[in-house]
Amino acid sequence: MSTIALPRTVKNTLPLLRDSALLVPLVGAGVLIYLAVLPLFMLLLGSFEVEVAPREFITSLKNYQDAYASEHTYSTFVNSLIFAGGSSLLTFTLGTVLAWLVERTNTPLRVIFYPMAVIPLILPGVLEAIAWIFLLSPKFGYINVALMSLFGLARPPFNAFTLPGMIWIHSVGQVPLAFLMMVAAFKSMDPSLEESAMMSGASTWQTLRRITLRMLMPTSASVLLILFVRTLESFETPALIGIPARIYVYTSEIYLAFSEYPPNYGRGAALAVGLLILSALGVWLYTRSTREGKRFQTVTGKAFRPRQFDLGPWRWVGFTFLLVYFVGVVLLPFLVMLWASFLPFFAAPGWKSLEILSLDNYRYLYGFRPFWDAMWNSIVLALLTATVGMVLTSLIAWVVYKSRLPGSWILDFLAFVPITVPGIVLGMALIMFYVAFPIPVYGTIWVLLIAYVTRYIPYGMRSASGAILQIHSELEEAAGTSGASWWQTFWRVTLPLLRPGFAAGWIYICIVSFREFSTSVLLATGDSRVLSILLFNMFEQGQVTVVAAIGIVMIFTLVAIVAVFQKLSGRVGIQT
Amino acid sequence: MHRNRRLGVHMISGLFLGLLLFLFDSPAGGQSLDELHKLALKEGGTLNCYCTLAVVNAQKIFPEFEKRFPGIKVNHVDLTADQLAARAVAEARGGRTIGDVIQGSLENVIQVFEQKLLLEKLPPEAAAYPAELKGSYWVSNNMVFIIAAWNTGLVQKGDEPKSFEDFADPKWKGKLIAEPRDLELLMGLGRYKYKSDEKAIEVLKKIAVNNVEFHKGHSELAQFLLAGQGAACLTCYSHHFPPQIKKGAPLAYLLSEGIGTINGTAVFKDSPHPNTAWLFARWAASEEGQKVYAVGGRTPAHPKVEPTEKIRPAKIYPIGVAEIKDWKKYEKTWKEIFKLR
Amino acid sequence: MIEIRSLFKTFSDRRGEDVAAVHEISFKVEDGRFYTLLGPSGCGKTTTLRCIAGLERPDQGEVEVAGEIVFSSSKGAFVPAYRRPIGMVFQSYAIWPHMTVFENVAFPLRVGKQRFGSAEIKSKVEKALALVEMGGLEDRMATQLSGGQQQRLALARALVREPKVLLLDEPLSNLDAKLRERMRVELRELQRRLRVTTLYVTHDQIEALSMSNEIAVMNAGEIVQQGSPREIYLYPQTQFVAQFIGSTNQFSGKLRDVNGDGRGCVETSMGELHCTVTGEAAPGSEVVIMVRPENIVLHKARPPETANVVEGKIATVMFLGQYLDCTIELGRNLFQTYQHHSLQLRRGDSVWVELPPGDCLALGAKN
Repeated sequence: MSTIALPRTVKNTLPLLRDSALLVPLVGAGVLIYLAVLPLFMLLLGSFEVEVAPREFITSLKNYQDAYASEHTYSTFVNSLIFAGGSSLLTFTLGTVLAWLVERTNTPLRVIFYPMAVIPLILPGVLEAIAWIFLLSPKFGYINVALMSLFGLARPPFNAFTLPGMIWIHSVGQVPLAFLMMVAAFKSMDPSLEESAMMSGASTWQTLRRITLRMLMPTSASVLLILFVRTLESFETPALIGIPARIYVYTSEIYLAFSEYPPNYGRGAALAVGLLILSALGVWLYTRSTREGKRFQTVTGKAFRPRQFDLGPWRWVGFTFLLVYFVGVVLLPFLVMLWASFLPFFAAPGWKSLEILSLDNYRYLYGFRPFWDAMWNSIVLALLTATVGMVLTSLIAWVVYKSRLPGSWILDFLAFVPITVPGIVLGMALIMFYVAFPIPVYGTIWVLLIAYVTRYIPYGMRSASGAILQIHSELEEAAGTSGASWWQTFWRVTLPLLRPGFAAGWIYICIVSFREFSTSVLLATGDSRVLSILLFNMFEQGQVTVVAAIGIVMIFTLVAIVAVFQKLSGRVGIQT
Repeated sequence: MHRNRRLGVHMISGLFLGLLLFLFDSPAGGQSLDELHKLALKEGGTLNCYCTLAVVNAQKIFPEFEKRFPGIKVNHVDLTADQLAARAVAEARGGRTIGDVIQGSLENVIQVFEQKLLLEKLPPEAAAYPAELKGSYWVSNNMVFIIAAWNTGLVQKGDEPKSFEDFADPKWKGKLIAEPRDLELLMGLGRYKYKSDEKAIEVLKKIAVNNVEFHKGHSELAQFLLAGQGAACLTCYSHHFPPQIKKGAPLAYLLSEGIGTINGTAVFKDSPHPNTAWLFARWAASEEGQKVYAVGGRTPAHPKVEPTEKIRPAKIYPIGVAEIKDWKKYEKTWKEIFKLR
Repeated sequence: MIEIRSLFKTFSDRRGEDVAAVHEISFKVEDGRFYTLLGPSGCGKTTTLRCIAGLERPDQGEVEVAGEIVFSSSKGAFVPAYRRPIGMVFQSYAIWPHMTVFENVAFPLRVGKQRFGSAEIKSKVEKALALVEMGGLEDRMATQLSGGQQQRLALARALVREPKVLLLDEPLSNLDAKLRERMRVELRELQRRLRVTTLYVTHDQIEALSMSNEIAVMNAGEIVQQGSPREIYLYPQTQFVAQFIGSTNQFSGKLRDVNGDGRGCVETSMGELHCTVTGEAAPGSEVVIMVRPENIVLHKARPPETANVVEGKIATVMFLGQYLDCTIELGRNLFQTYQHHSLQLRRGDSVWVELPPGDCLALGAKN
């Protein structure tokens, strides 16, 4: 394959190769531009269109004026900033402490806490938010009720429907991510850097402070940054907590501009463009900071056997922390969800509610058509998105890393673009695009497929390119010289060799598609409704206990997907 | 002689009507529903219903329609009325009409009509409805009553509210919840109960002093009331309560007075399935359709169909077209009273 | 001085089974000596070193460093790593990338129990850097250094506290061949000058032989032989030591008899050979005979009155510059020999092979 850079040689020796090898990059670029760039372009155009009479538009900057110079501009900006800043700090702190305790100390039983820290990763954000409403609502939240009766408090100690509430609820959902990133950071750190500090006479705490934490600074900065951007882009908590509490951030402003009457698409688009720029800036800084981070690594890509810090008696403090975290943050939301799913209506906990427990909600679900339709849509979409996404990104990754075509970095860049696009912005862009575009996908699950594939291309690219880089070019060249065409080579040599990376990316995309919310919320309606949106709609319609039952079924479905996959492949790749 | 003239008038008008029917054959008024059904099937058998029915109601209503007219499947685009209106308008801006029928709060149906998206025509079944329950392009499908409700676990016997203005009592401080968009309360009280907007504003301002907590969505509001988020609800929907009370929920609601809001049905001008749309519009307005809505848990608008549950208040302050005309004005006042955004 | 007494350390492997990394090791390093632990990877040498450093906690035994017992299972003593008077150089050098050269070296002076003024720190750091010929690079970022410079920096950092004991964990293995050769000499010179007791861990026999006062050869968690480099090379006590250090030809035989000064007669497939018997082997027992390639002498014609001469045929000849690497077929065995390149040898030539009795070591087959 290395001959592709020299067209003459290609022409002479491997004529079969030539066509596909040029076709694939061109088609790849076309697909990526179509998926990632065109809708954004429509969005940008839309942000300058102002409707003066029904369906009559003029070009103007008025939308931007509406979006950024209104009475709400300042509060939205401040709310978004506090929400994203607070969440990323809290998430990072929790994730780092957990990662450190589990990965680097002799805290008792830390081994079993590792999977428990990762499990919440598969929980849909909508469910997480609903579970925390059950727990922290000021009037009926179980935690509040329990604390009030336990300590005889006159006022509920917590309120989910506040900015701190939003920060907490969003953070606990993101902790597994921070945890995994920090575990990776701890793992890739050469333990001899710490050991040499100890040999220099530094005590445990001195080593932790002067070496470990300092060494982690570049990684920490980039983890914080990515958490900040992700929070800014998220819509689950802003939708379920923020909108009822009238705490608006950028994503909810965009959503409202789109779905409240009169719809102000122009204003929404202008807000979306701003959010897009903000998150693109964040992602750019992130990639820059991770590149900077590499400078600090003396040995790269090596997994070390981590050194454990001896915490002495403090290890029981660590243990207590882990226990409280897992009971309070992982187990409790699940339990309250499970409990609620057996109730006919949401009721405060107590012996009285024991009498009304029943399986009615599950029985109801069994004959509830919208649930099965949504379930079917979600599963089909998850499987299709994962498969289409991984085949597409494998091809693109091949072009980028193996073809050595001039300009293949453009493909790499295009495949990276969607990571900067917040889900709700993508949903908005796709609505504007496909309503006008003469392909009849609008309002069907196909537009969701397009949306999901677009959203998860960067994730697919990460695992595909990791796998592609590990394949020695000679393996493919050998196939070429054995007379295999480009497609035969790709299909019979490259793809099978890609399998581990492909599988890891596949399962990841499968999971994130299954629980996708912020893009679907604008795109999924009627027949194309997916589970997360059904949850959201029914929660808004007050069917909270049925919602809990759906949530439980959803959790078990996700666990089943992961379990089946793990059985099949023997490994699960969860990436960040 | 006298008799002859009458006959002549009848004949002429009959002929004229026949001619009309002949001229306007397709989505026509005079066919039987079954004839229309056949035409509808030719359009592919799908109905895109932009309808605000909650999933639980829709679950009972649409399958009946599908059973009645085999081969037709309802694609229920299920959003709140303002979201539906927004969506329809957005689609129209993109040059498309996706929806066949819109069914939702009258004010939102009017909004869509103002965007010139609706067919200005009434189904023959509309004839049975009183004038205030239909317009030139919409027929009321069901009525929704905004009433007061309370949690019997949190409100002592004897403390129950008897009317809306009872909530001005300071004993309700911090105990009230309401929907932020229910300015119909202001309209109903001002236009009908007190016949004075000033009086209504004064009462509501007193209620506002009690720090009303606002939550979007009436079903959510009912759940919040049930869960104890508030002791009483200022603007709940009456039809949410019977099913919950049947399950044993500690709830009660006021049926002495209520604001009546209209859910209207209308057909999109450029509906992709015009006959199917018309079929649904007619069925929904017909007596048989209205009975299905009643069983589905709603208050039918048809004068001859009674709701299956006790959800119609004794005194109704109806919000009609005239009130909706002043929507903007009332909305502003409403938001000022409760300091809403 | 370092003294290890009956040290045990086990790790559990992935399946949770215990694997002995160090199995009853004892040795003593006198003050100012250069002592080397030599062995293949996984033999337990690094674990032993880390136990001395305090980075691992042994299961059993006693460790004494500079007269202080830093670990004793019987007394329940364990001095943490940072309280031991030790300087250590890691295989990866472990240079902190977020510090300058100066800060890296100054670190031990800043964190230790003993506090130093900034002027004192400055002079000590400069002295340490001068020692490893790194003067003038103080302000460089650590990441801007070459491999050799990082190695020197690591050494300077280990020495700046003037430790009683210096531990070196394969410090030269990451350097290229030329640099490694030079550093060997420099490192040894530095150690001589500072007279610091040094424990050196390596798998490289040349490093071990050229630098050490004393070598302990380790295998599978145990010390198989201790002695001076000369003893280890010339008189390996076991097959393992013979094979691990240098190259060797091996073949089996039966010990016929053995006399008082260790000379013996062994019956082999090539006839009767005179050997030097090392270790314990009784007459009549199976033995393994070992001859180093450079000790084998080739003759074109049968040399008169010479013991242990066998006829063979040249199988391959490779010209390696300094010498010829020549394999010879002796009966069913292939022998490797190193010959001077002036010797004219061709494939298939018949030669007479002399196995000098003093260089033929017969070892009891048990070992």
